[in-house]
Amino acid sequence: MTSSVELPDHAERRWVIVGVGVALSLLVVQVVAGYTRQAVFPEPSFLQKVERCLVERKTPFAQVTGDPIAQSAQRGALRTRVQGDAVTVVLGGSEKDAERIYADYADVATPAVVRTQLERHRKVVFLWSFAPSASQRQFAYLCTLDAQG
Amino acid sequence: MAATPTPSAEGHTGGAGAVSARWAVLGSAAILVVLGVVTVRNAFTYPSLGGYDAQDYLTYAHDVVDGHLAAHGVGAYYTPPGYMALAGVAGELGEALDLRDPDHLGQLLNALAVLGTGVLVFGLARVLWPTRPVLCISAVGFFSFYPTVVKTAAMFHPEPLGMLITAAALYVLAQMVRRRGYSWRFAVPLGLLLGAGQLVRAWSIWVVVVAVVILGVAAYSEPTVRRAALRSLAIAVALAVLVPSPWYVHQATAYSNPVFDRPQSPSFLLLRRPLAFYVDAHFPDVVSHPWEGHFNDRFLPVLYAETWGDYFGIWRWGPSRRGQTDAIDAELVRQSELGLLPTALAFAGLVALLGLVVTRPREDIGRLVAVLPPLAAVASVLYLAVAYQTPDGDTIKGTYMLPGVPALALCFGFAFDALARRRAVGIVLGAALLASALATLPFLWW
Repeated sequence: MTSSVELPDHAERRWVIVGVGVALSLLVVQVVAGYTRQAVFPEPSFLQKVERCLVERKTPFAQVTGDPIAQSAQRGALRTRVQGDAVTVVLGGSEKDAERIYADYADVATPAVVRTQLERHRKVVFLWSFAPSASQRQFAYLCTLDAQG
Repeated sequence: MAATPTPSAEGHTGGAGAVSARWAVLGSAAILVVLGVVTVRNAFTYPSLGGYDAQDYLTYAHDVVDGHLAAHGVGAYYTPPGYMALAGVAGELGEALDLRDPDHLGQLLNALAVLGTGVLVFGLARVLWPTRPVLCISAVGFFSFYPTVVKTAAMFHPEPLGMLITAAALYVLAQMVRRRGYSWRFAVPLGLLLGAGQLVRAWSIWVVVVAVVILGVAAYSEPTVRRAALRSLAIAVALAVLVPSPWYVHQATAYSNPVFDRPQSPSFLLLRRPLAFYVDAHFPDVVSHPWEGHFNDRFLPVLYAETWGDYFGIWRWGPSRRGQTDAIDAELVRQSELGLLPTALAFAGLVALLGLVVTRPREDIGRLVAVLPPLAAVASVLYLAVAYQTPDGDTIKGTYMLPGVPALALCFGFAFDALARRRAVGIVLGAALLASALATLPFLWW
């Protein structure tokens, strides 16, 4: 059965164009609102997120000095002490950046240090002063969760 | 504006390159073959324990086969047993066939349900707009490459079967509206399907409301069929209530609520979330970081990211596969980008059909078959998200609006068909969408 409503008519096309206009308008509003929000309320950097986590857990931290490998990381680095074990937390900008940092440390560290004190979780590299316990590892892992992704 | 082409008796629409009805059938069939290959293959490669709440559903299905429902208040006890019974029997068959994982046959059931729904999408498009082959093929294409459809098809989950039953009910409704045939021959199967849907997924109760509205509008706007339409409405509603009633009675007796007995906040529903939850798409994160942790408290971006990618880590990353990597992140970002054009077109089609329904209500009741389900499905997911909120946005899932996808595909097809009547626009849009579908294929292949 064929009725007149099946025939393409101008009203249908007009409404589709209205629909496209509404969709595009909503898209533009969301884009503008998103960038405005970013400008007015900038997101904390990944380093700041790690620092905030450490502050919330009353764990002091400091800037990294005298470690050119850590200082070369795209997202920054810090030094802290997790349950008595000092650790350098290095935030790579990508997995590739983190792999480079890990490789640079591996080049200058002893095999024992690489095996027991050097770790990488996606984009984050940890260099511990002593082999960490499971609890120390867990703490460092959770505080850097945002920076890993 | 180009002149409006008049469809010929053979079904040519002219504008989009004279796609004939035969080519629409062949093209749709080819797309459905691809969908079939992908979903059947995924059913055997995706772990049966990998999907949403899979352990709960597997336990439930095994319990049903053993002759009893889920233990009191445990797991997915609030889910009707329809899919569990069929998947449980399929699992038994899998054991008899000595399959490595017999429950893959429960997943195969979903692959077949999705394939069947794809056929019904084509049927719906043909019934509602019989002289628009471009609409048919584009609706089938949208449905077949819609990631949440293919992802859920691989899982041990009741939603795909619910979607198939909903699509079948919409098909019967479309036939009734187009033929103006409001006899018991349509009303009985419609009522049985509406009832059966609730035995698979109680949330699909909105389909009953959709059917009531459509038959009610038909009765109101067409005096010559008013009595027949109202009679059909009464028959369909009676069956839709009768068929699932044993389940609802059981749930109401065993629990405080026959549908979902989880406690709710006493505050007014719409005030339970801030305004930003409803309206903020959290751009650019919805495209640049479409995975869990970036916008848990926003409805639109979680729904979008879960629909087009893998927000909750159930498909490309997470327990069922592996941790995130830069390559997976890049794939999810690409998925979010690829989803923009089809989503915008589907939305445009929905707005257009809604506008036509509102401004020309008596012209074509059939438009309601495409307009109402997506709106009702989104409203049901929104209700779930607001009424039963979780900190990680776990109640916001594209999977939950699966029964609305066939009609959303019709909206997409409607918009594409109208725009493609300008040949240049049709070629550019068609090429972009084809490229987008091909680019999505690796993501859909588990």
